[in-house]
Amino acid sequence: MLKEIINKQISELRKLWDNKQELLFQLLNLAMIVFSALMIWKGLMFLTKSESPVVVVLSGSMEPAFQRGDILFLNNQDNPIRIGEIVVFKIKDRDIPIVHRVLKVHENGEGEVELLTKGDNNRIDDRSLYAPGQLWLRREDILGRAVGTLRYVGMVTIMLNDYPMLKYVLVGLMGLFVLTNKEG
Amino acid sequence: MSDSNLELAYPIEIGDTVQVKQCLDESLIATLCDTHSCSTKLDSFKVTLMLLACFFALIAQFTPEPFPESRLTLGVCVSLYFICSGLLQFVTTFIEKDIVFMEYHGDFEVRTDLKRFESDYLFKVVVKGKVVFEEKWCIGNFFTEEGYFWNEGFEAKVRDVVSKALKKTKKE
Repeated sequence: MLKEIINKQISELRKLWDNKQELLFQLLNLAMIVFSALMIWKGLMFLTKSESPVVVVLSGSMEPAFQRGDILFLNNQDNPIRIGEIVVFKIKDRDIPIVHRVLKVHENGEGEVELLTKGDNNRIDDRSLYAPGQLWLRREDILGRAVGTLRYVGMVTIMLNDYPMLKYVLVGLMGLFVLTNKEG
Repeated sequence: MSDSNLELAYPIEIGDTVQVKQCLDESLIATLCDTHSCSTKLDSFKVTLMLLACFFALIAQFTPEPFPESRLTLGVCVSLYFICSGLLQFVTTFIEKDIVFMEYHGDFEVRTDLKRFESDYLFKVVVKGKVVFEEKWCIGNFFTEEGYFWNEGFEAKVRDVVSKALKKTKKE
C-alpha cells in the first residue's frame, strides 16, 4: 500500500511537470500557504511592537509559573515596565531569549530605565547571564512582557529543534501534499 | 496519444468525491480544449494576485531595516498581502465558483458540481449567463467498482452534450 501511495505521488508530480501552468499554480499555492503563516507572524510583530511576539519556554527557571514547553504571548507596548512583570529579553551576541521576572527597576543618572531580572526557580539574579561587564538590562534589551500563555503546546517546537531531521521530513511531506493535491 | 485520451495509470478512490470530481473535470477540460479555445483570463488574474501577494511577503521578510524601524513597512506589506489574499478568495468563491471551462470569446461556460458523498455529477452549459443545458450523470457510468476511469466514454458524452447545447442556442 505504501508503494502504491509513493507511485501515485510520483505520477502526480510527473503530470504536474508536464503541465507548466498547473505547476506554477500549485507552486504559488504552496508559497501562499507558507507566506500566510509568515505574514501572520509579521502582523503580530506589527501589532505587539515585539520582535518576537510568541516564544517557547525552554528551561525550568520560571517554575512553577511556567514550565518547559509553554508558549508565551508577548506585548512590547511603550508603557513602563514594573517590578514583578515577567519579561522576555535578549543578551547581546546571544540568540536565545530568556523569560524571567523583573526584580528591580531604577533610572540611572542619564534618565534611562535599567532593570534587573531573576528566574523564579533560580537562587540568584541574572547578572551572571548578562554580557561581560553588564549589570543591568536596558529597555531596548526587552523583547516584550508576557501577556498570555498556552501550556505545553511548545513541546512540538522543542522537539523540532532537538531533532532537525524531523523538521525537514515534516515540512517536505507537507509541501509534497500541497503540490500534488488540488482540492478546490 | 493525445492529452484528451489520457487514462489513469492507477485507480482512484471512488468514495473520495473530491478526487472523482477532479478526475472528471480534468478530462472535461482536456476534451473541450481539443475543440474550443480556452479562456485563461481568470487564471491569469489569480496568478497575478498570487505573485503580487508573494512580492509583498518577500518585501516584509527581506526589508533591510531592522525591527522596530521597519515596523511601518511591515504593517503596509502585511495589509497589502491580506488584501490580495482576500481578493483571491473572493474571486475563487464568488466569481469563479463552479466554472470549469470558459470559452475564449466568452461564448459559453461549463460548470460542474459533485456534492460530497453523492454520486451525481452535475453538468451545466451556460451561454451569456443563461443555463442552456443541465443534466446529472451518475459517476457509476464512468468508473468501475475498482475506480478505473472510462475516459473515452466520458469524452464522447461531453462532446455530444456541448455540441447539442450550442446548436440549440444558435437556433434560438
